[in-house]
Amino acid sequence: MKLEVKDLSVFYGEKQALENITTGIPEHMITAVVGPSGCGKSTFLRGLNGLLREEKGVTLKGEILLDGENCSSLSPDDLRHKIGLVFQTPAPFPFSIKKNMIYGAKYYGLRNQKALDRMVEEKLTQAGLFDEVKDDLNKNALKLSGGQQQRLCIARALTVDPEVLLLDEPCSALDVKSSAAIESLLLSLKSSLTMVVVTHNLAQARRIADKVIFLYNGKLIEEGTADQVFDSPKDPITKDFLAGVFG
Amino acid sequence: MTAVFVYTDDMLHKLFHKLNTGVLIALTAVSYLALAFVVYFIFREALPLFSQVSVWDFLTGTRWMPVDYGSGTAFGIFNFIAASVIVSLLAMIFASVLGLGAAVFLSCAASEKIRRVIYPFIDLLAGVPSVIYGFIGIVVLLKIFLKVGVHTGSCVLAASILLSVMLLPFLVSSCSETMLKMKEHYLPGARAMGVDYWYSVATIVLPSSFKNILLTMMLAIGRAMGETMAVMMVIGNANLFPTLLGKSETIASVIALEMGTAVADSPHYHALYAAGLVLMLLVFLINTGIAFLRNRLIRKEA
Amino acid sequence: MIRSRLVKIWAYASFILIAAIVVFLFAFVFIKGAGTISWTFLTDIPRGAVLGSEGGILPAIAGSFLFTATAAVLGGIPAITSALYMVFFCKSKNMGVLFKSLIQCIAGIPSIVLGLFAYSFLVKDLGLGRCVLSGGTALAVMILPFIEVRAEKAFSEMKEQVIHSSYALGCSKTYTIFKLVLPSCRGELVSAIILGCCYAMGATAPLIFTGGVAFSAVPDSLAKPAMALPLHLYLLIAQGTTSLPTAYGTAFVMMAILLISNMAATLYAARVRKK
Repeated sequence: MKLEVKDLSVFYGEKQALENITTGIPEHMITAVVGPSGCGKSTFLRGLNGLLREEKGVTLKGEILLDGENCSSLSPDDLRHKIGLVFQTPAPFPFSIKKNMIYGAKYYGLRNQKALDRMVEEKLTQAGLFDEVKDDLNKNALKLSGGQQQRLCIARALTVDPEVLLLDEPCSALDVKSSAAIESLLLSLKSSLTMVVVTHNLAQARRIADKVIFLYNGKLIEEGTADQVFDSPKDPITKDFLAGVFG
Repeated sequence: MTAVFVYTDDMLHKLFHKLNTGVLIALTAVSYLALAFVVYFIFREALPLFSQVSVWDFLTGTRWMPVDYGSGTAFGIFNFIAASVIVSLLAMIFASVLGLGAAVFLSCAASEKIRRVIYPFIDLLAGVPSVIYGFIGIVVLLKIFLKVGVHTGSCVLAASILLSVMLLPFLVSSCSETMLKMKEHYLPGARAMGVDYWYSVATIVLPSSFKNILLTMMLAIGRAMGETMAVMMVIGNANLFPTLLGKSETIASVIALEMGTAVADSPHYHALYAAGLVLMLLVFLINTGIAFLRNRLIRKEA
Repeated sequence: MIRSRLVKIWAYASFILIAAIVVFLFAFVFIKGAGTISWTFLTDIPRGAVLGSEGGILPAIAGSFLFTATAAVLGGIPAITSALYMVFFCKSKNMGVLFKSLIQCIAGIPSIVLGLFAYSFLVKDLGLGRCVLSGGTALAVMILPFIEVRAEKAFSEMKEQVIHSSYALGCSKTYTIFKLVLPSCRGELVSAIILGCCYAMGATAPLIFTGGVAFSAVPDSLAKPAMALPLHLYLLIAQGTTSLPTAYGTAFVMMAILLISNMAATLYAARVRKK
């Protein structure tokens, strides 16, 4: 297991958003987190890389182990360096494409212009965006289409060479064609990355996921390989959810 | 501009990264220390006066004789307080008539495009220095009052009119923002019923913005009381109880006019600080009242 | 129906009247003052037996810029750091409310009282005397809340996900602030500082007894007294009608500076937004 989650509980003030989640994220695979809206999917994801600690009035309990090492022993910055996150709505920085791409690398001390250029090309190519934007890397990122912006954000997350990439409903703000592009991008990244994708799109989860985690009301109801969960769910709640009774 | 910014920003970042958040917190503390310092120094310089004059006499006395010319000294600022309050109140009323009207225009009659053109002009008006208002007040407004028959032209009314123009930008921008929100919130529903546009503005937008407008008007009084130059230049500066066409003097003008001649640490000096203290407390009182009212009026609704 | 018509008339009439006031203010000053403006007026020192009856206003222009620069540095930096602290570091809601009301308190202090403060603290206690630093400090406290409120608004209007994206790359808060937040908000920040400077440049009351001295030369250090444009204008008017042309000229210069800086602020903010 790349990541192990032990008894993770999250409180927003008095309200409990996650209850004693214990699970594992397998290495070099895509894990999909599914469940009805408000079930704690996004909270779970943000708990994994410590971003929750930046929010006001949030308490976290439990342990998260990265490669067997307790994450709380890492500084928040180091943790997020290793575990990247991409948001639901594309959130490019209001700078040029190139500046978006070198932002993180510069933080880690990469100053050599040639190395930076090479890195930009490599990561954009990985994200399948390079051919579309190679002629105007100095264009403001906000002028790209929604799908391009989201791929840029994924490419940007890759620039700091994370070991794990978390994606919070990366396709929900996009059209079908852009979604397909992102799905194939995620599949192509599997060899080098461990990914966790939150999605409300069950068909998508089925297409890309190796492992599926089903959350409901802040509790982990069921987990297993995609085939197990989708074809022969054990819990009645999972069955109802997959049958579209709620969600 | 951009290039410079990026360059300095890079250098600053390196510097800042080393010193980290400690510096940021220290610099932030400077803001709050400034407040503590101001309050401390005003109190420290004001309090010695009250060993000579009781607070009650200071606030209610009408004789102001800071230097002894044979008939003894007297420190009573009642007329000054009255002038500060009345001039501000009048100015707020005048400004509200025009300001609210313009706010209705901007929020309900003007298109988004016009609004975007107008707002910078309101900012511009807000930036006009008070001494310029005072200057124009002297060369234009006082001439008019003189022609009408007011002796020397200086009077409370002139000061209020001038001050009301100075309050306009604040009132207009703050009220039009409120009304715009109310319009976007309620008007579509009223329009769907086929009611006349201006009728719904008059019966829905204005009443629903009323509470916010009231708070803005109070805030405007607070701002007006602290205003010094423009008022001082046209009010005549005589220690009299304010009447519409008579001369008077506000707390701020007394301080501005007499501070230059007051000997440091003399009773006169302490009296001027005490007057400043009263002015500051008056404004704080109004602002606290507003904060309190805002909690009562608006939070309850939501 | 009468009521709706009345409201409409009231709205249009008030707007037209206010527009007329704005036009009148600027037109009056520019037309009356234009005759006085000359190269000598801008670059000479005041001369003549009565202040300003002859000569120019160079010391006042230079002094104004120096006062304003002092205020911008002393007030602008804590203002922006306070805004950063409020938005990115303060995690307790109650503390946030407290700090916000403290800032409002500072904004509520009448400018003349700030003059009193600077006099007793800097001029008297610290023995600085009347000088640019004393007056500039009073102005700094005056523009601090003005800039803070605008900066805080700009910071809090940034999309949370954009900032969290930077954290998610493992970048520290400091890096995020300097490389992402400040550059993204530079339009609003620069215009807030420019408008704050205009505000400081127009203020007279805090300077009367803290830094302004008639007939002062062009200041060459912060420890020297100086003249400022608004104070110069006030002194010219206060001594009667002998220097009226110079007064109009001074008003012209002040309004011109105000107009130009406002335009610069608006245009710069618009340009940054467009990019």
